[in-house]
Amino acid sequence: GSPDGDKVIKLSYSVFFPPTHIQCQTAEAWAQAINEQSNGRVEITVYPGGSLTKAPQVYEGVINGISDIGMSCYAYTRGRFPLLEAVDLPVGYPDGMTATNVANAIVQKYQPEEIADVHTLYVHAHGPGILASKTPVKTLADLTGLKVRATGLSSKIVQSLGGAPVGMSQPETYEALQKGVVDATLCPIETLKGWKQGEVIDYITNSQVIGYTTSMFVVMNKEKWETLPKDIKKLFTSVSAEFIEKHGQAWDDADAEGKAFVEELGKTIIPLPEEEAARWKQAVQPLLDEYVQTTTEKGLPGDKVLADIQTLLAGGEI
Amino acid sequence: MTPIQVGILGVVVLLLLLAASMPVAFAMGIIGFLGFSIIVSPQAAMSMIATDLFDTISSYSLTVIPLFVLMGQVALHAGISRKLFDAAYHWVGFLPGGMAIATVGACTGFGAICGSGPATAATMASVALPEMKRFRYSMQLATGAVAAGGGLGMLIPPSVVFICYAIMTEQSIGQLFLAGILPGILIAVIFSLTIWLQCKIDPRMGPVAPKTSLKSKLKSLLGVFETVLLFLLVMGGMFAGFFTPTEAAAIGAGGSLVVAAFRRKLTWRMLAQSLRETARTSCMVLIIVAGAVMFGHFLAVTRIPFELANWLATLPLPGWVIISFIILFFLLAGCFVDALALIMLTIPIFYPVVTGLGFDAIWFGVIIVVVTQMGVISPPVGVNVYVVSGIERDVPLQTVFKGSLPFLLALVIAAAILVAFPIISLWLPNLAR
Amino acid sequence: MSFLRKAGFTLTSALRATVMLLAVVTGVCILAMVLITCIDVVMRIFSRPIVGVYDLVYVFGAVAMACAIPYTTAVKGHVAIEYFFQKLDKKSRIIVDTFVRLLGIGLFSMLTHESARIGNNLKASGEVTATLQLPIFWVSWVIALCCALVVLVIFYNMTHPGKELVKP
Ligand code: NA
Ligand code: NA
Repeated sequence: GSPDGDKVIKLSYSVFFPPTHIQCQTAEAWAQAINEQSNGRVEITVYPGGSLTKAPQVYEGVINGISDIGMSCYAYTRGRFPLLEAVDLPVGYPDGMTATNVANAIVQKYQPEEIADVHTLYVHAHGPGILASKTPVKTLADLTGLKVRATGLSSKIVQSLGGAPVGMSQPETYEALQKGVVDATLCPIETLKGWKQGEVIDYITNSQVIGYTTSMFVVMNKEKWETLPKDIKKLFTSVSAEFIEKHGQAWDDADAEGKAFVEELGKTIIPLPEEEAARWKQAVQPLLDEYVQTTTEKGLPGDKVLADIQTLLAGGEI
Repeated sequence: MTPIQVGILGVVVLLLLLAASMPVAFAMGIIGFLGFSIIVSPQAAMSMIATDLFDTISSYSLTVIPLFVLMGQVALHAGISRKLFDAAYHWVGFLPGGMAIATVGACTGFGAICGSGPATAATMASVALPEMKRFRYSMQLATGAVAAGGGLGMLIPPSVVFICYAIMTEQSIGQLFLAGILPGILIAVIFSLTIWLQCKIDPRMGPVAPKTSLKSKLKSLLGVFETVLLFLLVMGGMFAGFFTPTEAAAIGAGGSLVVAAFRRKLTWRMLAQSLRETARTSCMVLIIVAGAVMFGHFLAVTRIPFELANWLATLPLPGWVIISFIILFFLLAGCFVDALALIMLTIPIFYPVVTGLGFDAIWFGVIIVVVTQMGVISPPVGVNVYVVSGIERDVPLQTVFKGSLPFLLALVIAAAILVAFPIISLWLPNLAR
Repeated sequence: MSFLRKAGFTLTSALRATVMLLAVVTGVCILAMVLITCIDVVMRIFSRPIVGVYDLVYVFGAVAMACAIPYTTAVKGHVAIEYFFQKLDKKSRIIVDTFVRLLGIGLFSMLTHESARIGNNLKASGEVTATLQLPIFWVSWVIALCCALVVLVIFYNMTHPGKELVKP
């Protein structure tokens, strides 16, 4: 039926993805589903591309009520989510669906204190971050001294692989690759299409064995959440649960499109033979150890989280 | 009050505050805060303005501003730019408005590396305006040329606006970069004609230099030898792939300090003076950007941009009329909202309409950038005009706006040419396709 | 009376000195950005870039621009449209000017308060820069301090019409 004028709940949703990105469209589909299933009682306006709050400010913006709902990456505010950093580690995610499921399982099981200041609706995470370069990288030796675009955690991955991480923003990267300011970039294959960087690299090393991810939250202002009627809360929870899979699938579709894009451009995809893959895995192991050490020092169960992630990756249950 | 009514009221009160001589940035911040308070909540509004200030101040992509401004200031105080302009005077001074034309040329070249409109305007204003004053050029013409020339950086690659447009519309960045080159040159030429014409009509605007011999022309080049080297280093280094545009700014600043030292002009006094001017200029620019972001966030939650765009998109009119309306929309909205935010908010609505009408996506990207270029010099809110007037403090704002008007007209003509002849934008990308 | 004047004079001098000190910080930070980036570019030629230059430029740039706000306000460096204001008679000018400056004081008081609060939040949540993991809460505190100084500078401008706290 048509809703009562003053009973409509109007919410704003800040999404850091540009409006044409598949993840932004999935977010809009989520908002649409909430609207339809509530019979128009909830109206959500999506502000894409950081047009309400920029990516690093989305989380704090939700706490302060600049937007009621927000989607961004945990990694953009480094140090704020020490326990959840585990999800982004290079543990070798095979695809986005797996990474998304792992991320949700961890958040649900541990409900960490660090995200207690918002109501988490759900999380999702991209497919394996891999290496795309201008010169062929077949072995770790090829990586030595290679200038790789990376920031935050991925710059540590580059360092542990023997490369030289160079920090710059994603919009600058296209040109930096084109001109050779950097020789390579570490990113999910989807980015090569999304940010067009596939145009300016020549090789992709399938380094899935050390595939890292970036987990992204969809959270709501806590006070706002508390003011929602019980049935609407229930609706949010059920629709969100349904959309976990849709986001995971969207990441996999995007990766498939990214792969098709670079193949169409005639770029070479280099597989890593088993022995070499083991070497890469060995090289990034110190990052995992460091995570466990830092979280233990803070009194957080980092070792358990990491073990759970590895169990989930091996097909087990937690 | 509906959000849209709040939005309209906000624009009216903003204009009143501006007329009451409130600093432009403060007025945009106040209205952004008040409007956001009414539509969302006072607590959210307070946190919004503080977040926007923090975000602008700590923005990595805006660090080019102090770096390039420092380069300009050192060039000015070490007498490097004086020699450059002396050389230019020997070569192009005989043309009516020759020095202003040379400045537009320099803006084009500088904008090519810099990519930020306000940064280009700030740097060129601090370098070129004192020199043009020395050659007794009209300040109206000179400031107008710098404010308008500063916008060219958005069109000539690298351009952040193009990168974002490409990503949103799934077009190739490389193709868009190629598409911007010829229109950029076209606009530079039209700007030069605008200057030449103004000086033909009123020769006092740009006094003509006496003719000089080839010998003294060549001699003037000797004085700019290191500067040309520095320019080659910055431009060449960037195109050869030694550094990014942001890094080029730091290299340029460091390099100009080295050149100043080489000329024995690097004193504590000169360094302090350059740094003070750099602090003032770049802070002024950043605070204006922050104010515009706060005001833009208020406009976003009023949903005026969405509603207007949606309404335009459904008009039952022929294609070229709709395109004209869209251009008008960007021109008006560009007065208040930052170009990138505007593109993020409205492209999803306009893009399907434009391509549905059979227009080329790459061509539309070029048109959008040309139109946002108009926005930065058109009254009442034109970021580049504010920047130039803030640097040349003896020149009142209305003089700069007056000086920008002929260039605004030139941009309208350029946009009309680009709409009528899409081939100008599409020829280079088609070659590469 | 002369005591009050003396106190006012001392306060003004203290404010001026603080504003200039922060301007010096701006200068040093800008030079640091130039130096670090140039070294990084040279080192990169030998495939030895400095890790975390991005973070350093980010922090230095933020501090440089924050510390420049009081100075820019003190030299009246912000752009305003004076055209209509100049046409008013003296009495209206005083009223309009006071009103506009009070709004400015209100704006920067809020920015001071909120920036301090954001800083506290950043400290509590332990947010750090992406690569070097430098704490960043203090940058927000610096912004708060500078906004507080802007309030004082605007107050000076309101009570000393036609004068600048610092000569440009
Ligand atoms: Na450019
Ligand atoms: Na304008």
